[in-house]
This record gives sequence, C-alpha cells and structure tokens, in this order.
Amino acid sequence: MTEQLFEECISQIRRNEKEGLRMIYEDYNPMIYSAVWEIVRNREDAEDLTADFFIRMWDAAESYRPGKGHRAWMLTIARNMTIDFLRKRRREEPVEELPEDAARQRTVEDSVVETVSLRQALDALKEDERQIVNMKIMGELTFKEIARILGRPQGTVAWCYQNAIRKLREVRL
Amino acid sequence: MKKESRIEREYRDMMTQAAPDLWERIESGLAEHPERIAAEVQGNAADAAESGGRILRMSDERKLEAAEKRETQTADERKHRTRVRRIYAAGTAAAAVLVLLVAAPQFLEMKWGGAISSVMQFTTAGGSGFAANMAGAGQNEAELDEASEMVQETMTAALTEGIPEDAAEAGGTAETAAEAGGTAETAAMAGAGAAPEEMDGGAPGSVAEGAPESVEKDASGSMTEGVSGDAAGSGSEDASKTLTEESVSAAELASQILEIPEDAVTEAADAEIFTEEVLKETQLLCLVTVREARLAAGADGQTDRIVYETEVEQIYYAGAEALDGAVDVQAGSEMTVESVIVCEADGNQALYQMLPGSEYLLPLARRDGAWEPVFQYAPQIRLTADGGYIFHDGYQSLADGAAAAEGRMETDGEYCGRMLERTDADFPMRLAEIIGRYAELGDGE
Repeated sequence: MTEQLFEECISQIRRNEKEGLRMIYEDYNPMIYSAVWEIVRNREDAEDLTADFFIRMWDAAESYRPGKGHRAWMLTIARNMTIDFLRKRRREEPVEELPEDAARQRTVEDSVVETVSLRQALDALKEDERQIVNMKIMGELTFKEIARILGRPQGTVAWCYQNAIRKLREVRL
Repeated sequence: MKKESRIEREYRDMMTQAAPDLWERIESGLAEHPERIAAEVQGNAADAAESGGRILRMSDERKLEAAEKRETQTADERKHRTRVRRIYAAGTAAAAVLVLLVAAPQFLEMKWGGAISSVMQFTTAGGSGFAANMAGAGQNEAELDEASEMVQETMTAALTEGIPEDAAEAGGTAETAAEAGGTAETAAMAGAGAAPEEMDGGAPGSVAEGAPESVEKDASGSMTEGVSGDAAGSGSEDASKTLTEESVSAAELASQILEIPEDAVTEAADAEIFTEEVLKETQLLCLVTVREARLAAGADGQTDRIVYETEVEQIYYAGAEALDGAVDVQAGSEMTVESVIVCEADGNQALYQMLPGSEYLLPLARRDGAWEPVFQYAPQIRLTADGGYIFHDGYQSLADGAAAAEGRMETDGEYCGRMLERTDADFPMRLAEIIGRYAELGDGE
C-alpha cells in the first residue's frame, strides 16, 4: 500500500467509514500479526493483540501524521502495545513464563515440513533478531526505521539482520 | 529494489499464511465516533469563516513563540554548563600546579631545573604572585612564568565569573573529577582549587592546608604514580614504592610489552589527538580476546607494525561497509588486527600495546585490507577481570560519572592519569550508540 492510499484510508476512518480500516487490515494483517507473534510467541495472545491493534487504529486514526512512513508508524504502535501487554502480564502473573513455553505451539500450517523447519530455525534466533527479521521482511522497513523503533544503532540492526539470515540458512541446511 | 532471497520469501509466505482472519472480530469491536462527524462539520464551518482562520493563525504564532522561548532557555543552560565546566577546569589546573609544587618537587626539579627553587620559595614563604617569585630563577623560568601567568589568568577569570560557589561545589569529589575530565588525583587537586581567593591573596600556607589529604595521598601513591612513568624511565626507586596491587599485576603484564628495535618505524605518542568524531570511521565494534601480539615488518624488511591475533567474542556494531558481504567476521571467529607502533621518542617499548590474554572492546576500521583500531594513538578499551571497562577520557560521552582508573599500565604516554573505569553492563551498547550517532553524522556530510 502506498503512502497516498494509506492516507486516503485514514481519511475514510476519520469519516467513520469502515472500508478504510478494512483495506488497511487486508494489506497489513499478516505484518501486524507476525510482528506481535514474534514477541509474544503465543497464538491466542497474538490474535488478541492484532485485533486490539486494528480496533485502536480505528479509534486513534486522528493521531496519524503523514510523511513518516505508515508501516513504521503501525509497527511502532503494535510493538508498544505488545510490550505493554507483556509488562502487565508479568505484574499479574509473575511466575508464569508464557512466551517461551508457548513458542512451541504450532498452527495447522506448521504441518508443512518446510514451514515447520523454518519456524524451528526461527526459534533458534534471539528475540531481537526475530523482531528485526520480521520488521525487515514483513514490514519492509529500512534498517534506519527499524533502528529508530528499537532504539538501536543502524549498524547493529543491519548486522543483526544479516547474522539472523545467516543463522536461518545454516539451520535449514 | 533488492531481490528477495529464498529464505526471506519463505518467511514472508509462512507468516502470511499463519495470520488468521480476524476481521469479524475487529469489526464487532469498532466503536462509533459521533464526534468525528461533528468535527467534520465544525471544520468545514471554520474553514468557511475567516475569523476562525485568524484564531488558528494566532494560536500557531503562540506555539512558535513558546518553541523559540524553549530554544533560548536551552541555549542559556548550555552556556551556563560550559561556563561551570571552564571554572572547574581552571580550578583544577591551578590546583594541579600547586599540588605538584608541594608533593613532587623532585619531579619539577627534573623537568624545569633551577626554576623550581623559586617556586618552592613562593610556596613556603608566601609570595604575592608567581611572576614576581620567578624572577631570575633559571634558564627555563620563562616557561614556568608563562604557565603561572596562565594559571593566574584562568583563576582571575574564574573569580570574576563567580567561582567561589562553583568551586565550593567542586570540593574535590570524584564526580567533579570525572566532570572535569580528570581522575581521583585531580579530584584531590580540585579540593585545593576551592580556595582561589586565598591563593590570590598571597597565603600559600592556607593552600597547603587546603589540601593536606590530597598531598598525603599523593605522597603515598596515586599522585606519584601518575608521574611514575617518567620516574621509572629515569631508574628512580620511588616508582617501585608507589606500585599498588593493581599496578603490581600490571607490572607482571608489562613483561609482555614488545621491545621495539631501534630501526623500527614508529609513531609519536602525540601524533594524533583523539576526538570522538573519529568513531565515525568505525566499521566494527567487537569484544575480542588478544591471543598473540607480535611485531611485523613491511616489504622493505623494516619493522613497522604490531600484529594481534584475536578471537572475536561479540560484535556490537557493524558499519555499512562491513555489511557488504566481503567481511566474514562473527562471534567465535579469529581476526587479525594490525596497529602502528606508537613509541616515546627515547623509548624502546610499544605504548598502548594490547596484551595477550586480555579482552578489549575495539572500534575497528578496515584500512588497506587490514583491520585496525580506529584510533591507534591511545590505549584501547580494556575489560578488567571483574567486568569493568577501562577507557581514556577522550571518550567524553562516557566519562560522566566514571571512576578514575588508577595504577593501570595504560597510564603511560599521553594518557597518564587520564584513564577511567565504568562497570555498567551496557557499556558496549552505549559505545555502539555513540558510534552509530557519529556514523549517521558522517553519512549526512
């Protein structure tokens, strides 16, 4: 989705037209879902957070400022929501460590051997590396944008990404 | 657009397929926003009414004014901070000279010959100013004279800028020392610097009283240790007396320092001055363990560099050029790092040499096909056994709040008394961020 089209969708939302949100959802549901999933590593939580994200987008469309890259804007919000969610959960359930345990959960699609092996390879990555890979591939963000979201140097982000891809290749061999 | 690799394509497909359809759930959760319709109507009305536009413009002007005011305040704060730092530095410099006079007259004697006797006369008898006491002191007195005038000038400037409050604040704390880019030694000196009026008033006795602790401490260790590089060079026994536990182990390590052949190509210790800006050349920031250090010769057979065989423990930063794919460095891999030989003019040992068995956090650049420390005329950042990072005070962004690192062998050369230590676990990441900032500035040029 181009910046212009995204802005038109936002304008529609601001006019209470659900079609604007629907178009954004269709284009970016996988991006948001996977970004959230890479952090929580739990399917149910990822679904809840993704749904909440689009609902919040509907409510807070006025806060969008054009010109800074809508994907980066969306992923920043999604990431912040997810981190808030995890913080809240840790306060409420300090003993339970859901994300790591849930990392092994599999969806129906995982039955495809190739997909399973890629997912297993992803499990070998650190959380930061998974997020960077996700933002780069699914979010199509530049290293500069990812660096800004994560608060890390651009060079570090680029290095992490290359390292992660190398690891994935090695595990897949 | 960059061509997607197979693994990237697979990842995208997998994630796209895995995303469930949540639209019904989302749609059912959407709240009505009647205010949007109202706002739209209002907005249209406002656009239509000229007076509404004027109100908006006035509001914008007010915002602009507020922003300008904030900017001015920030600039004033910066000026104030700069002024305070200058005052601290002036006090520290003045105190440094006085403490040297009291605690290390032999050292000054060695450096300036007959001039010292006049200075001592000033110190003990209470002269009214450096310049008067320096008259006819000796061949090098002009140098000292100039230095003392500078001290007087800085002190006078400090006084006219209202030093008493700030100097009292400086009162010899470790924090102040760090802020002034100094060490524990200079902190003690800053204590003496807190009484500039007494000094100006020609009461040197009171100056000596003002810093008895620092003088005692200096006599027993740290201060003279700062001088020990020279003292050791001249074969003085005092140098061995001033070794601390840390420097004893440093002395053991010192046996690993390479002896430089007389005909080797060397660089002067002060050939280049470190500024953080040089970090923009960094291509890799790695934690390495040095396995071996050896001298190497160029094509002409003349020894001209030190070659380090290292093992990469961790990579914290990689610049764009390092990501071209030509560089195959990763955690666990071996890497050869080369450095010029830095040497004192009359010395035969390498200054700032990295020691086998020690860990270093190295900002590296790729030059002529070899990895080199980005800046080679200073000690590299070394890890201590207890997890601290020893670095020199040229890293100004990291100096604030750092402790003075005393008795380290890195205190040789230009960095004598300028080494600091931090124990923060995120030190490498902080350095990586600083490098990133300079790299971005470099990109923008």
